[in-house]
Amino acid sequence: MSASPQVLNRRWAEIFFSVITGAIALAVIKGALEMDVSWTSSGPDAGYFPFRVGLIILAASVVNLVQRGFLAPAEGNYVSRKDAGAMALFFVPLVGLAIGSLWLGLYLAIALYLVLAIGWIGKVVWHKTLAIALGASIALYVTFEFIFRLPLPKGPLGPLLGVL
Amino acid sequence: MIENFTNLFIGFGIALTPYHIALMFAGVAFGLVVGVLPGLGAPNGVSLLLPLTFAMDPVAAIILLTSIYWGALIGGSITSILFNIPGEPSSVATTFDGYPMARQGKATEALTLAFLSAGFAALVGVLLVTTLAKSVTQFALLFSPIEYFAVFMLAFASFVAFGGGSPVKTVVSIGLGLSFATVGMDTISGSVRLTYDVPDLIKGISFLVVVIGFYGIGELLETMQEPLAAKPVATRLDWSAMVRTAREWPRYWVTLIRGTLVGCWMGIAPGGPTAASFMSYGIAKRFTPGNKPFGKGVPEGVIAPETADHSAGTSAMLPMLALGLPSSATAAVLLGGLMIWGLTPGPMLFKERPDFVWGLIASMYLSNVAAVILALASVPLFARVMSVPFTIIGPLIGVVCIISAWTVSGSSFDLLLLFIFGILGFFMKTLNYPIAPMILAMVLGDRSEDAFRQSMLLSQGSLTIFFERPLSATISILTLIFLAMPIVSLLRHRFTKKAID
Repeated sequence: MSASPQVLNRRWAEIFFSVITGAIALAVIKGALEMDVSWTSSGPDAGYFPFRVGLIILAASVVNLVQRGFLAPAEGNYVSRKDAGAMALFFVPLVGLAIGSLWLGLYLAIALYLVLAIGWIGKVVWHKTLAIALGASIALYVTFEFIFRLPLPKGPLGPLLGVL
Repeated sequence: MIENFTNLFIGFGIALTPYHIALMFAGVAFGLVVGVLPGLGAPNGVSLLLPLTFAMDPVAAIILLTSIYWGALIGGSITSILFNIPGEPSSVATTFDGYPMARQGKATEALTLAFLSAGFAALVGVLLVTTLAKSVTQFALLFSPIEYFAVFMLAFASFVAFGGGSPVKTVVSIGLGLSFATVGMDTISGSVRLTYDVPDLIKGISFLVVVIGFYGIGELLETMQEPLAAKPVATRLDWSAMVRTAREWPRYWVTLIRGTLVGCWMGIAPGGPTAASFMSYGIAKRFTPGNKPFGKGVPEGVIAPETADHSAGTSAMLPMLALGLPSSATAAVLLGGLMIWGLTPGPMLFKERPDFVWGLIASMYLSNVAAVILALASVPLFARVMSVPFTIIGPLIGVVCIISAWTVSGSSFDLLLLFIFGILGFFMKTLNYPIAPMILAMVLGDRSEDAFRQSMLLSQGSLTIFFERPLSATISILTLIFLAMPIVSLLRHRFTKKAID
C-alpha cells in the first residue's frame, strides 16, 4: 500500500474507462451509420457489421458502468500521485523521442533520449549512460542498415553517414 | 498417417539447413531474454520482430518467430520459479509451487523439473500436430463461411466462458478488437469507413501497432506503477541435483501425461496456454493422491502447469495453420504475420505451401529441444539479466517499441496510434479487461465479418442459418452454451446466497 495520495481511485477509474469504451462504441455506431447499415442489392452493406458490433460494446459498457460504478463499486487504490509521476516521467520523454525522431532521425533521437532517460531521469552514472546510449544507437544502426537492410530515417546524420 | 511422416521428413530437409538452424538458436536465445525481462513476453517479442521479417523468406521468418515463442515460454518459467514474477500470463500457475521450491533451496530441482516437463510436453504437442495434420485439414475442407463464422464465434465465446475475468469486460475487449479491424477499406464493397476524415486511417489500423502499444507501452506503464521488487533466491545451479532430479522425473508420469493431455486439448480447442496451465494445476491439486501441500513447493505443482502450458503452445499451431484460428495471443500475432507474408491459412496452405507448413512443424521439434538445452545452460546468466535495474531496461524497451512501430509501415501516424493504444492498454490491463481476446478479434476481424456477410447473403438475413447444417449447428449450440455459462453461474450464485440467508 502506498501512502501517496490518490489521483484516481479504482471506482472512478472503472467509471472513467467504461465511459471511454462507451464513447468508442458511439463513434463506431456513428461511423457505421455514415455507411449503409442495412441491405443493398449485393447483400449486407459496409456498415452492417460495425453497427452491430458497436451496439454490443455500448450495451456491455453500460453494464460495466452501472455494475462497477454503482451496484458493486470497485474499491481500493488505482493510481497514486507517485505512480502518476513515475508514469509521466517514462511516457513524456518517450513521446519526445517520437516527435524528435521526425527531425533528428531515429538514431540521433534515440541516443539523446537514452542519455535523458537513463542518465538524467534514471540517475545512472554518466559514463555508464553514455556507453549505453552510444552502444545501443550503434548496435541498432548496424542491425537495421546492414543485417536487416531496413533503412530507418537518419535526419541530419544521413548525409554524414552516407559519406562514411 | 504415413503420409504425414513422409512430409515430416521433407520438412526436416527444409528445416535442417545451417541458416535455419542458426535462426532457431538465435530465436530461442532472443525469446529467453524476452521471456525473462519484465514487461516483455512472447506476444511482445514476436510482434516486435515481426516487421523485420517482411523482407525474409516466409519459411525462415516463421522459424525465427516460432523459436522466439518457445524460448519466451521457457524464459517465463525461469522468472516464475526464481523471482516469483511470471514472465508470461501462462506461467503464473508455475509460481504457485515453483517459487516456494526455490525458497526452500530447491531452485535447481524446480528448474530441472520445469524444463524437462516443458520439453516433453512440447514434443508431444508437435507429435500430435504431425499426426493430426492431414485429418484436420480434411475436416477443414468441409467448412463453408457459415462454419467459419460459427467457429470464430466459438473462439470468442470460449474466452467469455473460460477466460477467468469478467465476462462483460471480455465482451468489450472482443468488440473493440472487431471495431479496430473494420477501420479503413471494406474488403467486400470497397468503400472506406470509420475513418472520420483522417486520411491516414484509410489503410486501416495495423494490428501490430496495437499489439506493440498494448503489450509494449501499456505494460511498461503498468510496471512503472509498481516497480518490481525482485527478490532473487540463490541461483547457483547444482549439477548433481540436476542429474538426481532428472532421474526422479519419470516417477511423476501421471501428472506429466495428464498435464500434457489437458494442454493438447486446450491448444487445439481454442482455450490457449494460460487457461490450460491453470486448469492443469487445478486438476493436479484435486487428483494427486496423498493430500500433498500444493502451494508450498510440491513437484507436481510445477510439472502440471508447465506441461499444459507448453503442449498447448505447440498444439495451437495446428488450428492456426489449418483453420486460421489462433488460440493464444502469440498465435494470433503469428497468424497476422502469415497474412502479411501473403499466405492464407487454411487447408489450401497445406497443399500450396507444403514446404512452409512442414518446414515449420519439423523446426518445432528441433527448436523446442534447443530451448531446453539453452535454458539449462543459461540460467545463471539470466539471473544476472534480471538484476539490471529497470531504469536502464525500461527506456531500452521503449526505444524498441518506437522502432518496431516505425518499421510496420514507416509512417509517423503509427507512432501517434502507438501512444494512444499504449494508454488504452494500460487502462485495460490494470482494470482487468483481457487483452488476448482483443488481439484475437482484431486479427480475425476481417475474416469474421466476411464470413458473417457471406452467410447472411446465403440466408437472406436470417440468423437461423447457423443452426441448419449439422456441423455449424453443433458449433453454434456449443457457442450458446459457453455464452450462457457465466449467466448460469451468476444466477446459481445468487440463488445459493439467498438460500443461506
